Amino acid sequence: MAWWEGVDETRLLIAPVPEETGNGIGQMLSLRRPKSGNTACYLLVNGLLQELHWFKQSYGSWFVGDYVCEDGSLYTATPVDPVFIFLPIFEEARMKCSS
Amino acid sequence: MEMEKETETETEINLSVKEEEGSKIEDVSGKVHQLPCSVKYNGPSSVSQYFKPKPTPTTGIQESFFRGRNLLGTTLPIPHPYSGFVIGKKSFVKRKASDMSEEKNSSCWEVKAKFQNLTYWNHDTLPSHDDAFSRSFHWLSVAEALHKPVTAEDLVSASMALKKMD
Repeated sequence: MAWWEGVDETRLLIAPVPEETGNGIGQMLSLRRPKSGNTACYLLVNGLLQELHWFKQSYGSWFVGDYVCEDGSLYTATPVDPVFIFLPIFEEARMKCSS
Repeated sequence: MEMEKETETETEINLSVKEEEGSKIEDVSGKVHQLPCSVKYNGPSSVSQYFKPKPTPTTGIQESFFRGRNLLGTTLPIPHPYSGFVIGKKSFVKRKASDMSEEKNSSCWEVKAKFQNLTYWNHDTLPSHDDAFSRSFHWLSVAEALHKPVTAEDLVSASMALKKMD
């Protein structure tokens, strides 16, 4: 059976290889981006927090073996230290105390 | 008490590549190509029959043709500890049998194939380290170095380096 059977949508993702010890299931989380405070997408896999990036050029598509994927974007998940996520929350708490 | 009707979207990506009986995750390394144009189609196609990259005299540069256009490409390895995944989605609506008012819209992505390198193609221009695609790969190793938990050994070597500077 070809890999694309029974699939509605296809995307390409580069992510750290999950540790053998966990179940490898990644949960999508909406957390605040430390720099802007805006909501951004994160991925939690086997207890490792990762940032999700979306790289897309104006025109592009993928060939994957004998399969064409119209969406030419590339998703990457890179590890992020959870301390960074807490920064805007700490910052807000600090402002409240001083006022 | 009236129940609040809410629709929430839960997204899960199953990155587990443990091979169950009868199913093997295909390795498509060497067959992942990023094209510099949009193809308005999703689905199987005899790519390998028509798209045949060939090496050029320049090291690391390959040449191919797509719809009569000359493409120049280069293959980028995916750095350790990362891997490339082709993920596929089947969307479905889960309904709780006990409570019909609650509707959960969940989507689950699954690994369908994996790869350790990919080839990106430029139209007429020679691929170089300055290409946006090539540069987007830098972040992989930067993020790894920046966010990796610090070990006691790392601190010792940092402290030694600092002492040397004094």
